[in-house]
Parts: sequence; C-alpha cells; structure tokens
Amino acid sequence: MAYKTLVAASTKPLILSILAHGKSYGYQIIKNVENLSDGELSWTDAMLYPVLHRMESDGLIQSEWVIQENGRKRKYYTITNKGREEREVTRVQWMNVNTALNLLWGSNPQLELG
Amino acid sequence: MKAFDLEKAIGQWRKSLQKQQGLEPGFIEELEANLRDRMEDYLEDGLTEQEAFRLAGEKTMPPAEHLADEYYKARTPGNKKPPWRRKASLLSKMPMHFKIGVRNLNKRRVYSVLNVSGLAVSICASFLIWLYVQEQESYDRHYANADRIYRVIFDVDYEDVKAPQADVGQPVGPTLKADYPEVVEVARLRRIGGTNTLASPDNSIESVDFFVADDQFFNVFSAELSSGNPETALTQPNTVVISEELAMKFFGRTDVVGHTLKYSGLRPPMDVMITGVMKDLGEHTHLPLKALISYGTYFLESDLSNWLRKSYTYIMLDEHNDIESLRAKIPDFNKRYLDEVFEKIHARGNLLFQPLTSIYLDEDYLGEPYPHGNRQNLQILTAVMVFLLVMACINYVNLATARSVDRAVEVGLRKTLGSSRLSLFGQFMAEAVLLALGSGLLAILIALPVLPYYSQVTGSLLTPQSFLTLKNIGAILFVSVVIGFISGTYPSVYLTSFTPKSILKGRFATGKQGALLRKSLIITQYVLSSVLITWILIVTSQINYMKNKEVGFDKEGLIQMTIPDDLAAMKNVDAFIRRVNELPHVRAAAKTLSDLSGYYPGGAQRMEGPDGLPVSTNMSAMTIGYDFINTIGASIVEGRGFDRTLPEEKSVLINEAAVAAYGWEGHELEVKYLGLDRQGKVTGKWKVVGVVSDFKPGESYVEKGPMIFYLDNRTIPESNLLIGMDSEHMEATLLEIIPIWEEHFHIFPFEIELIKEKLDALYWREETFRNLLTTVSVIIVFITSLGIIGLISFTTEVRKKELALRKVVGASVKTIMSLLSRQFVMLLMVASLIAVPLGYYITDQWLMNFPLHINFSIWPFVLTLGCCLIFTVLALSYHAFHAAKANPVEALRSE
Repeated sequence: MAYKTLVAASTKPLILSILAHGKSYGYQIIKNVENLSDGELSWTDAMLYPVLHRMESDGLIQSEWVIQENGRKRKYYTITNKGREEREVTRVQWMNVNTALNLLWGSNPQLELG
Repeated sequence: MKAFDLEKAIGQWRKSLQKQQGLEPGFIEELEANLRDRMEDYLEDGLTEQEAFRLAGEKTMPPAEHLADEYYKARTPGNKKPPWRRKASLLSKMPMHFKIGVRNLNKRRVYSVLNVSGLAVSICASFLIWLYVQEQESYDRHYANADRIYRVIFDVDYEDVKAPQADVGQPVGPTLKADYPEVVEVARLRRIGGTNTLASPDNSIESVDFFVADDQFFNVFSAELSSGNPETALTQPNTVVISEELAMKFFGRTDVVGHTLKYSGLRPPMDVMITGVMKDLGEHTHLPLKALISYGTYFLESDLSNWLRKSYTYIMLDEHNDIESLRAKIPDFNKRYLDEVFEKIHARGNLLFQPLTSIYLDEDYLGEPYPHGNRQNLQILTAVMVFLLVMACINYVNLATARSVDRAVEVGLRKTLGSSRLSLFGQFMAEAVLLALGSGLLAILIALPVLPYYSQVTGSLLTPQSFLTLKNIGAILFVSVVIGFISGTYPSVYLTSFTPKSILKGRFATGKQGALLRKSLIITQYVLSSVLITWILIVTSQINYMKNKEVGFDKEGLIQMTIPDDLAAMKNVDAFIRRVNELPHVRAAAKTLSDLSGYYPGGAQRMEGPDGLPVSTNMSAMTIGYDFINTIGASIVEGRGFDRTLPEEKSVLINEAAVAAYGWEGHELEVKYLGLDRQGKVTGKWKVVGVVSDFKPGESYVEKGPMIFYLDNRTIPESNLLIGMDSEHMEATLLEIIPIWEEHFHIFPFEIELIKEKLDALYWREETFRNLLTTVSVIIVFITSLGIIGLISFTTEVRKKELALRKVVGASVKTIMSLLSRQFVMLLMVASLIAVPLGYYITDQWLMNFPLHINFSIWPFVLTLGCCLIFTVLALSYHAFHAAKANPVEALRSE
C-alpha cells in the first residue's frame, strides 16, 4: 500500500488523467486505479466521492446522471477545459519529480556532495 | 427463515445514511449507485445477494458519520470540525445562547429593567443582611481557644424569682481553678463605675471601655501585646495596659511602656504606669476593652475573698473541653461554698457556664458590661433574607411566564426548524442566568451607595474597600447564578412546552394553569407586603405607646448623676442637695441606691398584717433617700413620707398596688415589715408609715406592681443622685445647677443623664427591629410593585385585541379601565382575606412579648390595604389608560 499522503496528493491528478481519456463514473474510476497500480492503490468509496464532489464544485470536472437500460441511474463525470489545464499543470509537476527520481536512481547521477 | 429482500435492505441502508447530518440527497444516490455497481461484481463472482450486499455495504459505508466527515473535509477549506463533531452540550452552546439572550433582553427593555432591578435589589439586600448575620455570629471567635473559654455566671434564685447575673464573686474563679484540674486558666475583670478617665498631660479620654483586670487576663484571652510582657504587665498596682489605638491618641506612637497616665473614676485621680500596649481587640468582641488597669489598683486583698464582691470571670478548660463533666461537679461546689454565702441574703446561688462565643448573642443578664446583640433578630433576619430571595425568584417567574405570548411564536418556529426542547430549554436558562448575573453586578453597584446607611443602621463599619473583596463579589455572582438557575427552571419548562402546531395556528392561549400560578404569586406578594407594613405600623405604635405611657412619675423632668467615689466629695453631697433644693424650678433632689430605668424583679419579704399575723409578700424593693417620692413626682396618698427631721426613722413605705394586692385597705398604716436574721428570727419591726402612689420604674410595658421602699440616706459612692424639676424650665435650671456642682465637687466633671432618655433607650431593640423591618419592607414593596406592573402590562398586552374590539363596538375608556381593574382588585381582595388574619396572628404573637400593649385595631390593616389598592390602581391606570386610549385599528390590523 502506498503512503497515505502520497495517495492524497495523487488522487486529483489520477482522476483528471483518467477522465481525460473519456467519461467515467465513481466505481469505474476506483477499479481503473486499482488495475493501473496492480492493486497498490486501493481507494475507498468514502474517499473518492467527496473528492469528486469537491472537484466538480471547483469546476475541474462536470457530472450528469445517466439512466441506464436496466433503469438504474449512474453519475458520469467528464473533464472540463479548466480540468484539462489543471491536468497539464499537475502533469508537469509530477514529471519533474519523476525525472529527478529517475536520475537519482540511475547509474550516474550528477551530484555535488560532501 | 425469511427470504432476503434486497430492495428493502437497500432502503434501510439509505435511511440510515439520511439520518446523518451532512449527507445530502445527491450524495446518497451516488453512493447507492456505487453500492449497486459493486454488488453486481460480487454477484458475477457467484455470491448470493445477501452476501454481496453485506460485502459491498462494508466497502461503501464506513460509519455514516465518517462518510459525512469526508464530504465535509473535501468541501471545507481549513481544518474545521464538522458541526456533528462539535460539542453539543448546553454548556458549549452557552456563548451563543448568551448572545441571543442579550438580544432578547434588549428587545424587551422594560421587562428586562423591571426584572433586573427587582433581582438586583433583593440580591443586594440579602447579601448585606448575610454580611450582618455573619458579622454578628463572628463575635469573640477570633480568640485562640475561643471554644474552650467560658464565662462563669451566677444564677441567683431569690425564692422563686430567678435573676442570672453576668458577674460572680471574686473567689469563684480561683476556687474553680484550684479545685478542678480541668480548669486551666481563670481571668477576672470589672468596670469600675460608669465611665473612667485616663489622662496624659495634654489629653484626657473618658470611656466605658476601661476595665480593671487581674494578671491572668492574657492567659485566657489571646490579646497580643506589641510591647510589654503579658506575664507581668498587670501584677503590680497602679499599672495599666492600653490599646494601640489609645496609645496613638495619647502619644501618637505605640512604644509607650514606662510612661504615666492619670487614672480617675470613682476615686480621685492617681498615676498609673503603662506596662504594656496591646493590639486592638477589634470590634467583634463582647468586651471591646481599650485599657486594662491592674486589679491591685482597685481591689484590696480583703475584697478578693468576698463572695459578694463581683467581677466578670472567665475560665479556660483543658484540651478535652469537657464542660458537661464540670457542670456535673457544680452542685457539690455550690454546697461547699455558695450555699452559706447566699443564705445570708435569703437566696440560692448556682454557677452556670456560658460559652464565650455565644455570650454576645445570648440574652442580657443582670450587670452585663455592654448591651448585646439579639439572636432572635438574627433568626428573623435570616428568614427575611431567604424570603427576599424567594420573592425575587417569584418575580422572575412571574415576569418571565407573563411573556409567554411574546415568546410562544419564537418557540414554535424554533421547534419547527428542528430545535430540540433541550436546546430551547438551554436558551431560556441562558437568558435567566444572564439576567441574574446582570442583576448580581447591578446589586454590587447598588450596594456601594447603601454602605454608609448600612454602617449607620447596623453599627458595623463597611467601606467600599472592605466590601469589594474578591470573596464577596464571587459570592454575589455565585448566588446570582444559582438564583438564575432556580428561577429560570419553571419558565423554561413552561415556555418550551408549547407545541408548534397550536402556536403557529394561532390557537395559543395562555394556559389556565400558568395564569393561576401567576395570580397566586401576585397574591403571595401582596400578602407578604401588607403583613410587613402592618407589622411595622404596629411595632411603631407599640414603641410610641411604651415611650409615652404614663408611668406614675415625671419622666421628663428628672436628671440623674453619679455620686463620686471620693471622701471629700461625698461629704459635700448633702450640702449640694440643699443648695439645689433652693432653686426655683427644682421640685426636690434625693439620693437613691436604685435606678429608675433599672430592672425590678419582685423580692420576698416577711410582713406583719394589720391582724398581727406574718404574711409572705412579693414586692419590688427600692432603696431611696429622703424626698425621693417628691423628687420623681409621685405622691404620698396615705400617711407620710420618710421624715429627715425625726431622730430615728425606722419605717418603710409601700405603694397602692401592694395595699390592694394584700388586702390592707383601710389598715395600711398598721402593717409592719419584719427584719429577719439568718435563722429567720424576727430581729426588728419597721412600721409602714405611708402609701405611695403607684409608679413603674424600668420598662413601661409591665403592669405597676406592689412595691416596698426602704430608707437609706447614706452617701454611698457610685449610687445615684436624682433631681426632679419642671421639665419646661430644664435648660435654665441645669445652667443654675452647674456652678453649684462645680463649687461642691470641683475636680469631678458635671455629668448628667436624662431619665427620659434612659427609659427610651430601654426600647432600642424594638427600634432596631423596626428599622430593619422598614428597610426590608421597602425592598419587598418595591419588588411587589415590579411584579404587579409586570402582570398588568402582560394582561393589557394579551387583551389588546379584545379591548380594541370592545372599543370598536362602543365601550368607553372608563368601562375598559374598570374591566381591567376588576381582576387586580379581586386579587387584592383575596390577598386581604389572607393578610388580615395572618398579620393579626404575627403581630399578636409579637405583642405577646409585652404584658401591656396596644389594643388590636383594624386601622393598620385598613391603611396598609388602602396603600396597596392605591398603588395598584395607579400602576393599572397608566397601562389601562394607554390600552383604552389606543386606536383600535392598530391592534386589529396586526396579523
């Protein structure tokens, strides 16, 4: 399991990145994240839905209730333009962290030490 | 087993979420969709519906509250606690309740002012009373070992008349200490004469606070000496220990041991050396001594073995403090020492022990050095204190419930919006407590200007500095809060009991029960106020009655002086009397061993009736000089008075009451007084030579009784000199007497007492009581007025519409006013029906203390109720007139 703080920090970028590929709903998002991380990132419902709600009121995503063939309702989320911008910003940030860590874990990191 | 119904289970699941604050409908629907998605997966895995629901539920729904927390956290910036996590106790809501309370009180200013001032006045008064009671009960408790110190008193029994005396014979104390090991210390002291004077070369102070005390004084009383040695300070004759206060007055400093003062009292001035300076004994002692003159200065060695030469005697017991076992040994003590002594004066004596700490509040015994407090008064005051607070609470309840109409709509709305009854209760309680707290603060402010008056009435100094201590302020605020809680409870319960439905439909009417309660509270207040006022009127009339009662002698025109204890001066007394007798407006002057303002219990005499047979009689005895009867303005109705021209006057006088009591009419002058020796043998016969008109020395409320008068025209130190004069020319006559006095007794200051003043002073207790009663009733009447005004304004408010309608259909202002007055007049009538018998009972009980008292009359009651009626009508008129004059449209238009 990942660190709690890491999970919290990565929730928003993960949601935005998933939705950037197309619309989805809460349970599907949870499952996707689980699959992508080989079960390492296991989100609880209690965590996800409030975050989705918050992101919607921040204008990053928008939602609509869709009635399915079996008559059940499901709330689908899509990313907004503001959400895409936000995803880009966070992508750059995460990439920076990623690059730095990759260099460090590589064979010859250029470090000034001592 | 019942089949699992999925939809029902989900329904229940949904409901449990709906109960949680913070989970809104949209959230729950989404969570339900999630639940169903999850279940679908589980079902695909081959689980049963029931298991799938259980597992999905576990995943989707942690405790609902936790779920709500997450939503709240995601929504709310910062780290605020969600409302359902905040403390919801009454206490935590107090700040908010207080805020709303302030607004409500501010909205109804008149109501708040009435309520706050009523409470404040009673809190203030009760607290001052409490301080007074505390102070009175604290007397003598500051001495170390106060609980082990007792005063020894003589319970003297002259045949059947008991007369406890505050002082006992000189040998009593030392003998007790010698015979009983549990008596570890003994001290004796005594005031010599009325006032004594101490003088330095440039200052002279006359006081009743100078006593002679034996050298053991400091062993019993833990008075601290700031200089001098307590062990030796009072051992030598002609030495004195003075208080620091006195030292400051004489010398302006306190290290004055070794200095000399001039002491004069009944003896001519003599030098006394200061051997010690003691810290002031304080106000709170029954012996506020300022100077202690050594015993040897006054008493001779022979005096100290005289059982009839008396002093105040205090003993201290050992640590076991077993006073009962000492008391048990006293009959034996009496047998060994006292019986023989008292037989000589045909009496029996017994020793009693009085705890030091209770002396001040116990009754006065014969020969008390200072007047005492009165325990009964304190009990009455304590009752009054409780009673004032109860009145204040009643008033609060009254005014608060009277506002129910006003608050009902608020209660209805709050309840509709989801307020719980408890929370509303908290709101009303908060208002009550807030109001009481405000009253407490106001009470402190009110107390400040009242303090000088308090000091004057109670005689105990209370300054703003000594009043505004943290302890007192804390106590007042604490009491206020408690009152707030007590008086707030009923209105809070009552006001929160309304159901929103009935209120909001407008069907709310004041419950019959509430009205009944308010009415009975008002009646109670009426009753209490009128009983108190009646009582005051009756106490006042009784005091006037006692002061002005004809007592058979000329109270107004009598002055009294004390014969100095000085050989040269005493020789001049007769010459002085002769000279004074020559003055134009002087009736006569006489010596007497008796005091007209004193207490005269009956005594037992053996008389010989006209038939020659001995009779036992019970007559009050006075020992008088020549011309006494004439001096006081009484008269001889039969026979003659004592005659100074006869070579040997061996006779007695009796009064008319004695003649009547023993049936000697017509043969008065054949009666004889029998002198008896110790064995009861007749040693001499004194003829009754005259009958004196009846008069009553001392308290005038006791019937004139049989009296006998013995002649003793010797000049005895400390005895009294009476001058009777025309009261209309008293001032001029006094001016004529002064030079004669100075001529005969030049070194002794001219000092007189007016008999009228001394007699009037006998009723100081009743006067103090009256003053206290007056203060209390002013407060109670004030509170009652507030209550009545409150109720009147409430009634007119409630009936506003009714009155408007009546006006519209033609009622006149007068009709409306009489309509409104009727209710209050009815209440007042009911109150009178209770107040008159109750007032009669109480005042009658009080009057029973006085054998002669004013007759019952209905006037005080009529007067009191008249006042109540006038007040009520006045208060009512304002509101009623207001209501009656109002434009009906205004009232009818609302809603």
